[in-house]
Amino acid sequence: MPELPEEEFDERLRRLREYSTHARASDDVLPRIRAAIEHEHPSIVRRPVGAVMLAAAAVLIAVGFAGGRLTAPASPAIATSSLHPAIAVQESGTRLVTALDALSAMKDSAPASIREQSREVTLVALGAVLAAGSAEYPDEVDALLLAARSPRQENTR
Amino acid sequence: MPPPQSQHREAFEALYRQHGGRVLLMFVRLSGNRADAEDLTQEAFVRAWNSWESFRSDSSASTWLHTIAIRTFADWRRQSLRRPWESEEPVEPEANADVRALLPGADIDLERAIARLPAQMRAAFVLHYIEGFSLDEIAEQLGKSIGTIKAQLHAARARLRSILAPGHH
Repeated sequence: MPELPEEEFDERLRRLREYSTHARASDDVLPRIRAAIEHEHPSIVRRPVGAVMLAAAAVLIAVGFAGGRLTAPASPAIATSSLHPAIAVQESGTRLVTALDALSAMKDSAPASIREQSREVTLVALGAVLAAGSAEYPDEVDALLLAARSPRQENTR
Repeated sequence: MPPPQSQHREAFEALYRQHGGRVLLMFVRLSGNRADAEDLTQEAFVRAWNSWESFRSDSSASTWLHTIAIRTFADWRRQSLRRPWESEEPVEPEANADVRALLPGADIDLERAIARLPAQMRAAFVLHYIEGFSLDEIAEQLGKSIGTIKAQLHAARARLRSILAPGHH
């Protein structure tokens, strides 16, 4: 099999090393570094995972609440020990607000894939709250729905 | 070590402007795409900022930054179960377009040939022959034996010389 002569290969490799030193720094990355430093993020890889976990916890809470709503009529014990539906929805909504705050805080510094993943988890949580069927969900959930529609555009690099 | 104060910010950003391009280029070659490379560059420079004091006591900014960069890359590989070395495909042609955008006038044939190497072989080649890391450093950071790295470098050279031979398609 023919091969490029050793000397020619080494010369091209030497030139490659040399011109690599002239690569231009990206203007897109510096603002993200500034944002990460200003928010005192120790690591952009690990921090978003916390937000994902938080959003996932919100999903569990919301889904658990939705399940409780469905079974409550058949079980007086559950019905009497459960929170009033409007209060329970409000608590779930509050946790979701917290999750969305975490998403918002990391939006400038997190990798795009993690931001999308977190956002989708939060949207699932929102859906679960709304699936509880209450027309009395708090204003925060309305605000969440509005906010959840915009991050994709804001975060597009 | 306490984080650096605001008066160091300007010097740090000058460091980014001087070395950020080369770090980004290294990550494009290693990861195979610009988006991951930018994430890795961000992470590497945030880590650099957090250990700024250690740089000030060293003499070579380039060596210090690239050591942080290779650790960042190694951590990134380890943290994702979706990136097993053995199953990864070569990265062309996206990497070539990214390299061209960063570095007009690059030896595109050679860049394309490097991009066609399997991921682990490519990493060993880029880190040793382009970035100048020792075999010991590469073996340690990539979690491989020195013998494995040597074998990959030998195979990479042979493959590249074959790809670049006149008449090769």
